[in-house]
Amino acid sequence: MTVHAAATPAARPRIGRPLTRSAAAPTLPVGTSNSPQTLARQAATWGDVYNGPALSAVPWYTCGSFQDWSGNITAERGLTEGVSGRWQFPTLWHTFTVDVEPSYNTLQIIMVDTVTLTGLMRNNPLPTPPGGFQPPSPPVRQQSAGSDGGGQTGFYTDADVHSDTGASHWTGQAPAPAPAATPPPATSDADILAGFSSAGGAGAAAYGAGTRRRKAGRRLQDFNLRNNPPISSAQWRWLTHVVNTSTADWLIVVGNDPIWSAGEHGPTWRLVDDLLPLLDAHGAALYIGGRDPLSQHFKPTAQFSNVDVITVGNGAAGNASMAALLPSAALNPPGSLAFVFGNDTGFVTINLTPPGPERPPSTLTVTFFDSQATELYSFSKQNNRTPPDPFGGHGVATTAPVQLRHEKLWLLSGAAVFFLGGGGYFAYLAASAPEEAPKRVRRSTKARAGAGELRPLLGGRRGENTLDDTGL
Amino acid sequence: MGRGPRPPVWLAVLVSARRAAALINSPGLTFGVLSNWGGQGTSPYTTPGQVAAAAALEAVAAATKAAFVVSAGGNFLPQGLPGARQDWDHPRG
Repeated sequence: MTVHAAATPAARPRIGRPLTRSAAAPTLPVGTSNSPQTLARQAATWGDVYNGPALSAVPWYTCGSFQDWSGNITAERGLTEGVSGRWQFPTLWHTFTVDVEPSYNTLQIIMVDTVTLTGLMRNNPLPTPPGGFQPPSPPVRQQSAGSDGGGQTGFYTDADVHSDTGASHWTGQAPAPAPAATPPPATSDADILAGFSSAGGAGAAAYGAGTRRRKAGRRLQDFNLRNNPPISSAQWRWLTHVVNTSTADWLIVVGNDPIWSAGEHGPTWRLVDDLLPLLDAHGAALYIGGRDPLSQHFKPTAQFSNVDVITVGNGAAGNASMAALLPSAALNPPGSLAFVFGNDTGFVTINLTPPGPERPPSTLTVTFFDSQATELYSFSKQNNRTPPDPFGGHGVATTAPVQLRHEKLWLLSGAAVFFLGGGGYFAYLAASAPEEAPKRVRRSTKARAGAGELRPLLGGRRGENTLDDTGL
Repeated sequence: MGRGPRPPVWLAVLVSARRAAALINSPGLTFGVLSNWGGQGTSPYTTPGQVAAAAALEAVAAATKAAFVVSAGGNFLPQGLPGARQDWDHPRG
């Protein structure tokens, strides 16, 4: 198994080359990632738990959740010990590509940071569906110029994210126009900060009141991620670029917030509106989420996409009552919830088995387990994506954009050199020729004064003064 | 269809040799997925369910020769790692 990973932007899979990982951009100073407390917590929660011979030999790719963001996520990122370390969290969003060995199939896994991608720091509000599930047609998306600061298209306003307008846009009704010059809603900066402080946030515990007050201005800004569209739009741009230019046969996207979920958190509308169509357009096979402590499988529905959505959020706590309640079940596409399990902790294995050494359509199998390694549920699917050429061709979604543009560029520059250079040369000749001709005439008339008209008759060459030589 | 310069033949030979070796070693690709596995905020910083699922994952990973593990966040519950994080100033995450 070979892993070639890239932080940003996604490297095209380099088959048959010793795999180098294009390192992430020079890392930030990571703060307290080397502190004894951080290392002890990592060892207690992770290193001493997942330490069997099989698990300790393989990399552990991870991304952030809202819990990680409420603590020191830069320290989590900084725990990455180079490309060969086990803990792989090089940047908040990153991607890597693996070979499915007997064939030329490649699998690209894209890890996104849904906290910044959606701008959702806190729990998704649970909208009350008036008439049950009604898909939006067309999806109504607000373009906000106010609270998110930049007028980013599709970036949700405070009202979208933190009030029931989520329900209104979901039921297909146009959201009520926001009144102009509305004061910021109550769930704003101060509220978020208060929420973190009162929840006994790690930052609040580690710093005294004075430090907290000094840092308040800064923390207001970076806690309030909804109001930080550069982070979100940078990641959306990166994600679009990665899926656009991916040459992998299989695409799987991983993030903490689920696209669909029947649990307490429920579906993440920003992802339903924007991520799901993107993944569907590029033939991604699977989206893996967490958040709710449930194992779920949502089958693709014809009205939405061919993307299977699973959540596997019961890594540490399986809550039976949560599974029994399923408060958001009605918000998901009807008939899509094929499996749900929350009585116990569990995990998932994903297998890609190509049936032959040629370029077959391989099969992806997802298997859910509980904490006793009992197989609970399993499903298989074929690829939605046409496999690209192994030697640098392009997949379905990427027929045109990259190399063709370069070829056109080369052609254009070649033509420019040819025409401009050739034209310039001829222009030079044309410009210099009339200057030389009079000079010669002048020189010859000076040398052979008075004999100019006889020269053609006598047949003398231009350089020889035949008349003077003969003395005529 | 745009296509770059074709790689030389020896590269293809190397590739097939590598593929053949890989075919013997590990057919297919299997990896584990989990999230919200980050224990709890107080000692012992794990939960019994997490430890049980970790043992099960270890067993399944050993049986299927899992190539890696993907974690969808929830790494350190419930409030992440201690300390204040750096200000986010990295345009690429």
